[in-house]
Amino acid sequence: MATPSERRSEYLYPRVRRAVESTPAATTRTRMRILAALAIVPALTALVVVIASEAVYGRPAAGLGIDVASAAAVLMTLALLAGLALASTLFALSQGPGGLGIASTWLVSIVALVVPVYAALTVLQPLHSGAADVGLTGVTISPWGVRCIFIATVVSGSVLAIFAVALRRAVAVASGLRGGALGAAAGAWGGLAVFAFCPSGETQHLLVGHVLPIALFTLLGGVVLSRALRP
Amino acid sequence: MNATGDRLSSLMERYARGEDRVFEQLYGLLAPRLYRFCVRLATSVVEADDCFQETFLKLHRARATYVPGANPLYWAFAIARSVYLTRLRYWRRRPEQLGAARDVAEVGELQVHDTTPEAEVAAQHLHDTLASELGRMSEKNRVAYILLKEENLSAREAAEVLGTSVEVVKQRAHRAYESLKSALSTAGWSEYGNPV
Repeated sequence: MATPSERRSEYLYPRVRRAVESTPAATTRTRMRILAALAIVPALTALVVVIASEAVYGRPAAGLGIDVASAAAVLMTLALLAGLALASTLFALSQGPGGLGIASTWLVSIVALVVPVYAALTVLQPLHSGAADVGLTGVTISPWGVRCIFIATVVSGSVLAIFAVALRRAVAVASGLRGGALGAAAGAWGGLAVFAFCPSGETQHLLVGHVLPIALFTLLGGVVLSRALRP
Repeated sequence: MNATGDRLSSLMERYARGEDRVFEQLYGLLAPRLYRFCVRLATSVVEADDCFQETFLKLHRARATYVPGANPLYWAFAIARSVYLTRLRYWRRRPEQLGAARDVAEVGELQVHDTTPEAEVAAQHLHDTLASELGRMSEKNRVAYILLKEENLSAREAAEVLGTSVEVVKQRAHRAYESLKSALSTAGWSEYGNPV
């Protein structure tokens, strides 16, 4: 004997079928979109850094070459920041074995840790002496990091949009938290870009121009992305 | 996963690849439990019907996001809950349109076989008490209880569906259980459904 739920779902079948038949559905698998995003994001970040740095300082990746006391320390920090961006991206984009994403504790960790880890790596012990801020390069560097905020916004905004496309309709659970984690990951790519671009060593500049955009994109991801991510 | 789960997973994988002709079989396996879940979430037939249909539509639109090997039922539960929460937020912004909700008992969720009229009345009372208490408790506690006690998911599976930790799911389900036990006791029933 059919249960009431079976009878009711059978009764609803024609309506559901009609609605489904008249609704288009994407066919590009999410895994493909995630792989494409993982290929595009580092290339995009590098491209923006090279173009911006050439335009402003006349050399690629000025932050890695101007006013640097230790090349090894810069490369180590660059590797750590790249690792931070990549790891947060992989966790935030992961669909998990059950298709419902990774555990919420991991997402909370990403949201909570990306900004402080980035700040600890770049602000607590700046790799630049601050000579570039007082005219070493002949380029005026704003103490409020206006140029860096712009570059971080371009990179993080583009990366966030790429993430949104990659995971569109794919997050059935905790979409706000996932949006925040994606925002933090996008912010980390923006942070990596300004680290490679900017030779400033001033604390105020680093906090406002480099760290603040990451915090803002974490917030933005949580607020704005949620709707696009839900099925 | 059991044999049905494997079959469901294989059908969903084919549907995700664009094989529209498997929809009917997929619906046949997925719909009854999904509808029951929607009824328990929504506590009214009209709302459950809408939630169920919208869930299937979203499942269809999001089919390319399905992860091969995942349990489609749990995925559908997660979508249904997301749909329900979105609808709940919508109705909370427009409280004047709330109402016209019929209780789940009207669909015939209550099944009584070979009993006396007195037993039917008693069963109806028991059902009403439970349905009313489930409808009154918070959505978070209710859905944790439904997944663990009615859909028989493990705490880990329920935590995945709800996007939270195992401990939180257990706490919520326990709170729901205590609340149901208290409501039954007040209405003159033991926690096992026997008159006190």
